[in-house]
Amino acid sequence: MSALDGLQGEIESFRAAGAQIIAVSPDSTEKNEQVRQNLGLEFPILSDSDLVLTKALGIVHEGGGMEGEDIPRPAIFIVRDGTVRWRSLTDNWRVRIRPGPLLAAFEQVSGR
Amino acid sequence: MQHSLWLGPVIAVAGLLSYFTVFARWPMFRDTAWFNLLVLAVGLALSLLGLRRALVRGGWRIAAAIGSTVISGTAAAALVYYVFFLSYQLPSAEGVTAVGEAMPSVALASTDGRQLDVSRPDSDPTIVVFYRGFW
Repeated sequence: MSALDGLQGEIESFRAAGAQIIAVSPDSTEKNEQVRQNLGLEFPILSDSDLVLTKALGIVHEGGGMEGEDIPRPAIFIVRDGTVRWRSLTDNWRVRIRPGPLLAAFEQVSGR
Repeated sequence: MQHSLWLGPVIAVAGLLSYFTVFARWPMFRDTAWFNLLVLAVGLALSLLGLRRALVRGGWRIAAAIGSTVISGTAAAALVYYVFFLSYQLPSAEGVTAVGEAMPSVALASTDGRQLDVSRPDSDPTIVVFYRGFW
């Protein structure tokens, strides 16, 4: 959760760089809307509750959820023209890339 | 100074719980957990100090001091386990869509009521962030 919070905190910098953010969670749309409102997120959250996209990307963390359910591992992709141009997979789910380095990666991909 | 017998476990348990409830919110405290590990070390040190004193003075204090040390030690072990072992339990990155490969085309329901396909976003390039869900 703190990862989304952190991105929202730097939302102006992302906007200025022309970076659109889309979050994806394994939760229902209702739950996502709650989270979005609670954290005041200004970017959408998609619901991949059947893990279709999560599986297609190969980022399923089997039994990684609180109740042993399958969930996505934390991951960030920068997509351009339908192609993955950059990705970040943490090796420790407590530790995520911070907004600064993510923005730098975005600027590199967008060529600005 | 009998304080250390109860103060140790109180500090240690607070150090453990506050990591999850408070400090995990900020990357500077979350990433290395340095602050909470430090608090737990203080709690455990107080318990050990109390144990040493109790062993000298004897009597009922020894049982209390052992209890105090067990509680502080368990709290410290729990955070160390979480930070240095449990949070590294992730599947291998093998087989994950790599740089240069196509983003799979899947339409998903968005909080704004639309169906969005992250391989064809309205704005290009786009940052797609996967998280583990809200618990």
